[in-house]
Amino acid sequence: MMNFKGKNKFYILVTLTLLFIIQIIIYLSFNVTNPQITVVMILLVLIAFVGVLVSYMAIKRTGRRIKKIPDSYKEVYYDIVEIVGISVMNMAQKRNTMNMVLEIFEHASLQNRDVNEVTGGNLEEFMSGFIEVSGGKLSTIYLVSYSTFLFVIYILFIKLYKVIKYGGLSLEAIEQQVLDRGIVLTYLIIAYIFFPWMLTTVKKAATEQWRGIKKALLLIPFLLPLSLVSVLIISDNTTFREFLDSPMPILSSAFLVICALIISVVSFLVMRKYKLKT
Amino acid sequence: MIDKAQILKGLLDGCILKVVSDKESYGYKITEDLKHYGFKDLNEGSIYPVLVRLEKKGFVSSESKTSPLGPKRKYFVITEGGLDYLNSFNILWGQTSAIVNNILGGTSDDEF
Repeated sequence: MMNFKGKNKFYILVTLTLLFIIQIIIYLSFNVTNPQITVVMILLVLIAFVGVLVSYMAIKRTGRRIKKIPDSYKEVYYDIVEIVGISVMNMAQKRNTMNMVLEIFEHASLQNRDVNEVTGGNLEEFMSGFIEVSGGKLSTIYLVSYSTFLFVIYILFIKLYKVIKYGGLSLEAIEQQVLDRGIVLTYLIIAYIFFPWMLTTVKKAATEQWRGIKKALLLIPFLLPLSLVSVLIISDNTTFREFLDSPMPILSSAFLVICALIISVVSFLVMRKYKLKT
Repeated sequence: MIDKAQILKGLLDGCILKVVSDKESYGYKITEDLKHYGFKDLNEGSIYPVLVRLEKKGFVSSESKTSPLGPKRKYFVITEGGLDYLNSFNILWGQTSAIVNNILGGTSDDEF
């Protein structure tokens, strides 16, 4: 049986970073001559690496305490890390929750209690009280506003890239540099299907305590963005290519760009408001 | 089928405050005390979130101390605000339980 360390979120972060790097390489391979774009791309990669590093350091921080608890408790603890990780708690709430769980596990293991006796054999139920009291429940409203925020920010970024690369920042460039249907639809699918699918799969893996080969199922959601990006790049069917490269009337004026910015701010505020409400 | 969790939700705050009002206690001990009183289905997953909520409301305060077993754990004590809440809970429970018993027993206030 694979010695599962339960660091799903860390592995996903690494995978997303790699996907992002691959995408940047592809963009750069199309002769990007604008140094500002290159700098922005490099900065984004650095941010992704920092995210991976912070995540790794967070795991190491409580590592010494976790090492002392029995393996049966360790496995369940890491499953709970995944569940808490995908909740909407802020970092302090997540840290406090995991400290409480670790305190319970440390003392229960020293009393020679079985981990299933402590959790009642149902991780979702065990953690529901902790997540609810910290306002960390993942809901449809939160997922939709999160997806909307991701999608709008991403297409704004792509628009900014095209405007700066081909025309410089001007109203004329905003109107002339249009987004391709393929790009927009790809990121629409990634934001509204891939991210929620990935989050619910991670949660399912943690609450059902997937082990061994079953953990490979976590990779299935990643087939979606990989397939989409591959189709975008590789497809040479003329009709399909024309469809992918056809312009989409989105962000085609300064007014629409401002509307998109407002939508991104509103969706961000909805996410925050929902967190406060719970 | 009756939702026991929903009924307990309103009662656990008062019960936990009563347990903590006697002396400083910690999560597992509170759970065991409540089980001893009759709440057999409780585990730490039910109690710790309530302690967090009570602390947020200012009804209990906590301090992290080294336990006899070695690792640190949080010890909870009731506050003045918690005592006031407990007194109100006592009064309300007395009134409500009497009314519910009347209804279930098929008697009314007039018959007393």
